[in-house]
Amino acid sequence: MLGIILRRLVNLVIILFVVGTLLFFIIRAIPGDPAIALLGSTAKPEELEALRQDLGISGPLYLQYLGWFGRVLQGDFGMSIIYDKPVLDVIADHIAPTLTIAIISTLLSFLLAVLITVWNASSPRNWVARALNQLSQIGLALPDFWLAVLLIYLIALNLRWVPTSGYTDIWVDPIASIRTLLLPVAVLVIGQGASFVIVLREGMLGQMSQLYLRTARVKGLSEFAVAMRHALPNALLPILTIVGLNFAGLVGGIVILENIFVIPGLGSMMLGAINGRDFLLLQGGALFIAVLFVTVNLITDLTYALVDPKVRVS
Amino acid sequence: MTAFLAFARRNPAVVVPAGLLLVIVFITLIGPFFLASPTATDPINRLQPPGGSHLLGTDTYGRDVLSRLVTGGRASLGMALLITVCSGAIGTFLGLVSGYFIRAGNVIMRVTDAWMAFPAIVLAMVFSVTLGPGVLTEVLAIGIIFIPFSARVLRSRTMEITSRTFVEAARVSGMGPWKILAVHVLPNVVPLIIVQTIVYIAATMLIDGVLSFLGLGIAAPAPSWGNMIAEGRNYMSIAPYLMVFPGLVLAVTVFLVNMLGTNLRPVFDPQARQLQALQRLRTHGNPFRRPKG
Repeated sequence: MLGIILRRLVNLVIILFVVGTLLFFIIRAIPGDPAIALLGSTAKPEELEALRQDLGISGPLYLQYLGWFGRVLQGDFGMSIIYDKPVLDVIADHIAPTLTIAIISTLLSFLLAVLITVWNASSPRNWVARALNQLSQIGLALPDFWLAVLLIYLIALNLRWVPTSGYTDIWVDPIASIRTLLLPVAVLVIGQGASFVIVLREGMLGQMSQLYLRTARVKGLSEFAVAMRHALPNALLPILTIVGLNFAGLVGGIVILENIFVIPGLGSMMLGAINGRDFLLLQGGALFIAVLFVTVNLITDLTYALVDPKVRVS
Repeated sequence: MTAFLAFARRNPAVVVPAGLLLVIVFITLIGPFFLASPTATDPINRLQPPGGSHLLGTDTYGRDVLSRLVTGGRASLGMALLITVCSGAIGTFLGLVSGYFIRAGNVIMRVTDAWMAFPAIVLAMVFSVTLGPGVLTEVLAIGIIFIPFSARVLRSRTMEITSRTFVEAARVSGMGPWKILAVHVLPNVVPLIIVQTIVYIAATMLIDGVLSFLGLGIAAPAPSWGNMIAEGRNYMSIAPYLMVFPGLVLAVTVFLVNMLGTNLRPVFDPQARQLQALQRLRTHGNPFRRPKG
């Protein structure tokens, strides 16, 4: 076990090095000069050069790269231009909304998927369960940005149940927070839940005909108990990876929903950084998201090894 | 022909979505010749509701929505196909190579690991901003997301195949590695490639929609389903049909592509076929079920 963890940690460092390097050069290829964006095109060349030096974006590219990497290793991600704050502080300011939405919607989708799949597996001829199962194919096909706009139109504009956009911190005002979170979370749960159902169902189908389940049935367990207590734990393993990847993907990938619902999260921050040519914030933000992705991935893999003895041995 | 009919009778779940998709493709190819120009403005008849002379109404510039839908569909479908074929080809090549040459494969896999850790949408946006909107930009921006995934899947299948005896026999008889990959491995992974490509087409259409929605896809006057939704969003309260139709068409197309991909898998893959048979068994009577009463 310790060997696996060590090997994975070395791997993680290599991955982050590659990600950081690629990120730097891809982002620096974006046209536009932040110094001109800040001072305007009428600024004197000396002023521009001085500002570029301040921002750490002057001189040859490879020196900038080495400088940036050196400072990052010391925990200094530089200053954000648009927020005029250290990059790490800006990320800290924007992480709460994104994490809240990602955690809530991942948990809800997972629970929903387990419920639907177990119900469907234990009563395969129940038409409601079957309909829910089929609906998951539709949920998978709905474009999330379209669904978001549609829900705003129907529920926020027409029925006026919830505000159309905005974000309130859950610790400040829980009721208002839930009202603002309702639509974005609903959109995510529909898409994510659908994909979880599809993966989980495949695993359950494989399990439901296994001989050990016949034993469980013969000893008198109800079909629900068979599905819930015996088949589900064995079918959960493959979906663990998907849930982990999905969660990590959400943290970096709800740019659209944050844009539509005007949520001040990481996605909005990155979009602002791209439009404002805030290179250091963009590099720092993308690296942060990559670190999170790799860490979540590592945790899922380790859980895998912890739960399944077969993985530990091989 | 008879062979095709027999196949169709055995696999309605494959033939029906495939047929409907063909109809959609056909309409987007032929439709523009019979409809008004998708970019012709008509300010007097702006924001006409569906029905009447404009079947699906007109948008804020008086442009015909139906005509824009059809032309936009041509762009969306064409882009998705182009992107998937390009990224699929690169992914397949990387997968085959890294599956056969284990050491090089390990290096390639480290790079794809890093690649997958990139926030995909952010990467696509950076590409679009860097290269400016256009066909090539979109192919690069979206295609790059799928390469590592297809390379990974192809690699594990290649490793599985190269461990079989017939590959070993070819190796012993003096066949070069590239020839083995081309003659023995590639034909065995073709079904996997086809199914994967179809699944990625659906995903590509959605991401293409996202980019167009953000204004990073096909440039403004030309329609795409994504930018139609984005434009319609501004007139949501007075003309909801403007965003409902393109979204609906996009969803239906993605749904059909997904169905085709899912249902095509059992046709090629015996293991998936077994699962499907099990499912049928379970919905139409379960042999392991204890008798009622």
